[in-house]
Amino acid sequence: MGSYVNRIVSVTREGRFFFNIVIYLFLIIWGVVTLYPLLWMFMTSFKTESDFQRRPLALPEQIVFENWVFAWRGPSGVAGGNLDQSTIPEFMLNSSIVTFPSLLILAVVTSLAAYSIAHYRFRLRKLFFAYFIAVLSVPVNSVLVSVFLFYARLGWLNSHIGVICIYIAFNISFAVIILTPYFKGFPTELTDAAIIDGCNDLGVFGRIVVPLSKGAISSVAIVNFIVVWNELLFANVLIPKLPTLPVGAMRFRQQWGTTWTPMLAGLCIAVIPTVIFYLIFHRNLIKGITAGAIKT
Amino acid sequence: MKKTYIPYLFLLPALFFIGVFVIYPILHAFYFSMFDLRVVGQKTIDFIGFRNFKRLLIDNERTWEVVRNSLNYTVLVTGGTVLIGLFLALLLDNEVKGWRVYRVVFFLPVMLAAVIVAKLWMAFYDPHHGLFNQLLRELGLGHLEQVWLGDHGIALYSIIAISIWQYSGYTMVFFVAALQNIPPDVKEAARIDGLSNPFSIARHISMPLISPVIVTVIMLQIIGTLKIFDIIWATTKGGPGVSTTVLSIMMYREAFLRNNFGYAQTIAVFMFLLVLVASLVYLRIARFGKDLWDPT
Repeated sequence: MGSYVNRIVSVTREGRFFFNIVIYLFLIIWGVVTLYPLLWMFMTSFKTESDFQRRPLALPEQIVFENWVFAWRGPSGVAGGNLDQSTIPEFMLNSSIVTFPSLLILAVVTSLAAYSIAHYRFRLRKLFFAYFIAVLSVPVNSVLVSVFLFYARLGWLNSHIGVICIYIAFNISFAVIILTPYFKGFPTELTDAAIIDGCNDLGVFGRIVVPLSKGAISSVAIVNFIVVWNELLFANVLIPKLPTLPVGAMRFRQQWGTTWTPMLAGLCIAVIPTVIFYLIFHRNLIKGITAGAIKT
Repeated sequence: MKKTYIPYLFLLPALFFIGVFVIYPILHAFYFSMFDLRVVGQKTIDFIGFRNFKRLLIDNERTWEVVRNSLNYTVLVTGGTVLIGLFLALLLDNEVKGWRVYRVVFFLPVMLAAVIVAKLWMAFYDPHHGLFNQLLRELGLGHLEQVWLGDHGIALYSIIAISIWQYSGYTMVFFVAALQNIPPDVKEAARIDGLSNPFSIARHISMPLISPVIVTVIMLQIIGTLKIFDIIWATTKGGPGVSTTVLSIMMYREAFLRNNFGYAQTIAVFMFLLVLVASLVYLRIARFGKDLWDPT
């Protein structure tokens, strides 16, 4: 029976056509499932609250921008308490202050480590690589309470530096695991030539290896960007007074009482930088994510 | 002259960050899991041995409900995202026109912070104005309306649905990359042998060839989902009751809402051990690891 179906499908052009229809149908269904919520969010953010409550699924009766203005300005005067006075621009600033130094330091630290494992033939290198893999499977949430207690004692709570250190530590393993195979493929002729020309090891790394590996290193940095930019738990516990975008988004609902549309506009604003970033970097991003699991 | 310390020097920054911010805090968690530790208001540090463990594993009836929620979330989200991601990747493997566009769209939700996704879906799950109840009403199925995030029996599954929606594109990109690595002549040979409908090629050729990647992705998903925090914290905070409480939420509540830091450390240790055991059991079942442990 199976082979009979196979034959019909393989021989006839109609069979091919039938399969193509099925394939595109499923792809389009999942495309709609993926995009509809986001488009709905965008559309509804231009509705008035009463329009939304009456007909949540319909197109806007009239397009209003006040939700976006509300969301951008924040709820000053609407809700009490210091925390709730922060606005989306402040959330974005805090997220940036935390994210970009983390990425920069991560790039340096992890490419040094990966290059070391890949390039030098020292006895413990396999053990070190295994160590990074083992650390990858540590559930990072397990260290939350300890880190909070340390920081409380050191006075590092609500300081950017503390949370930056955490983000660096958590993302090292992933980056090293992806970069090591990449550096393995780095031509040794180039590094040997530089040594003969009198370069020391750090000079070879900084002047030859890094400039020629910018693509791979930035792919990894882009992946790290997503992880750090979106992180909630540690940001919430360690720097509650410097709310990042996810921490701030947690408060969207309370800020606006029982209304939905300003919150949806706030979500739109929060999403825009990520979407722009994604449209620019999606190729490097997907390459960076899959590189460790798939050997090419 | 050979400077043998150079590779260790290059590894030092990475090892420093992991040592200070991952390994030491884990050891600290193990140590303080044996104390009754309160830090807010009246500070107490009393050594109580394994009583926290007894309290967690034997006295607290809710623990097993929480563990069951964690495992439920892990199994269903891992299963759902891997099945849908694999299905989508196999569909895209059929010389689909514009496959890159589909990939970009399907991956888009992965980019968004779980908090933002959660807030958006809360609008869909809203009992009065939400998409789902609205649709049910319009289809004349009003009796099926649910309080999606407020019902003991349903809330966890509502959250699981959000995560499957968000992360199916994540698993997909691994499978797409793996499928692209299959040399085209392998499929050509299969075609000549008479296997030519896309379903049989997927089943007999593509899936067996990418099975190592499937194993890796399942592993990544298990580790990622067992420590889940943000999507649940942003939607239900673990409620109603403990119906959506997972281990991370339980730990957070004990530490930061109940001032039980020692007990929270016990939960952290338990979570660490659970992920460790789950990883080892899984790797054992999948008879896998040799490939991953060797970078060459």
